[in-house]
Amino acid sequence: MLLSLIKYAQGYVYVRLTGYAPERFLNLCGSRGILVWNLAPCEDGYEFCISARGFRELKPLLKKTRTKIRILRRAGLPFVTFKYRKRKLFCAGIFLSGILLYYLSGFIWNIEINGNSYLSDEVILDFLEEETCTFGTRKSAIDCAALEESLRSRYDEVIWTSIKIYGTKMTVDVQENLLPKEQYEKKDEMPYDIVAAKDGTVTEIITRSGTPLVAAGTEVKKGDVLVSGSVAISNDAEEVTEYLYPGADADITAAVSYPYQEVIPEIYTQTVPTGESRTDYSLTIGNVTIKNPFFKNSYKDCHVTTDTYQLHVTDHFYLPVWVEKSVYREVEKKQKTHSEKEVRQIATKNLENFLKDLEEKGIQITEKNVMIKKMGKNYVADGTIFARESIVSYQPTEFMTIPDEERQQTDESD
Amino acid sequence: MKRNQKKPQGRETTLREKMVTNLELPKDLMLGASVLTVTGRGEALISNYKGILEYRDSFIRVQTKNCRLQISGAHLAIDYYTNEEMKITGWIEAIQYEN
Repeated sequence: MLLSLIKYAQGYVYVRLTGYAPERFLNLCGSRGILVWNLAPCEDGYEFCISARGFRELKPLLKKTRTKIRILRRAGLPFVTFKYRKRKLFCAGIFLSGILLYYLSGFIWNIEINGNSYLSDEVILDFLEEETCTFGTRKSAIDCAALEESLRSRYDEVIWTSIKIYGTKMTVDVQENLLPKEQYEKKDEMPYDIVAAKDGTVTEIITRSGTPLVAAGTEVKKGDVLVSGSVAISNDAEEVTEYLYPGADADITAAVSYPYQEVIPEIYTQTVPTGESRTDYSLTIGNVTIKNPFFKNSYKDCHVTTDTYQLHVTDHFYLPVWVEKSVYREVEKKQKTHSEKEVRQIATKNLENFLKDLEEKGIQITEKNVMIKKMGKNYVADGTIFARESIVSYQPTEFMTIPDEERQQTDESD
Repeated sequence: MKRNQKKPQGRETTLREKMVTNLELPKDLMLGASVLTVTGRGEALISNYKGILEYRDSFIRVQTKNCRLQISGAHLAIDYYTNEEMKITGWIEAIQYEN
């Protein structure tokens, strides 16, 4: 393989040798170190390959052996370049395309984001754009380590990041903290009070630390302190001598209510596909979009589905070229009227979904009271859902100060 | 050299040959003996030869220091040859030594 490559680079000719003593000619070639290969006999002589340089040294040998040589075929790089000597632009084109490819491969053309669930891809892409590390940025201008650092400091949810660049693709690996926010936010040194997250009536309270300020049955408003993070230490005379701040920790369940309202119009528009469809293609190169000039959307109403494909050479080498395929499906708009039975079905289904969402959040439904009424041209599902849920939320404890007199008294008593 | 060539096949060994054999020297270097390596039936490598005498599709005759060597067969082709060695490919049917 390598040998044939060298032969090609140096150039060789395929020749026919005829005459008086071809064998002698071959022996002379051998003794002079002129390499001959693919030697085959033909009717009146031999055919073989010989290097272009060797061919130039053959003249004295031909004379000595009284043989004649004829070139049948030329092969190799020197002959090709000679053939195309007048096509300088073609050569320049090949050279230029190579340079262009090399130049363009110095940019980021694709970004892959893995491991994010709270932060959406768009959020991270926006962040990268703000940091000017987005599509089309020079790879040398990106400092991956600094970018990781700033991503971690910008978003608290991110506890670990890794940003790598392979080829023209940037891979952002993110590890997010999946614990609920209060579980890790409460971990600092500050003592916290538990305050009501919403209005309701406390049904159950289990205090592990802190001073409970409410009991089961107390009605609370959003923001009311339920369990104080401070504990008052009193002396025998029931005077407060000192405050301790262990922080509040409690499970508090309250009966809360959710208002529910949904409006279902009696007359609605239904879109029915007619079965007619047309497909359009467009090409995007960088920021320039080339549309199909022969395509016309003649449908009055239609649904459009667009698929976009980005061209890529390898897994990591994405090109700034997109092909878009848009399918236009004609639809017909029809005015229809819901019957009361249908409305009930829809309303029940929507309510069920709403309750299911609540239950998924750990909210226990105790009672629901929803009525469907017809008001003008609409049906209105209106009512209240009663539920039980944890209303714990945290806020820093206010530090209490003991009046000076009291303190003096305690000093004396000691 | 000429005397060697004219000797019959079952000739006596010369002093030089005896020395080379006893001293375990390589014979191809010391006596100029040609080495013929045949791989299967399709490939033969001759080293230490003097020159090509005749070459046809059905046979190749090669001159070595002591004798002539004829390889006959079909579709014989010389892949390459240099001053030292020659590679023959094709269908080999017989290898013959002539004086």
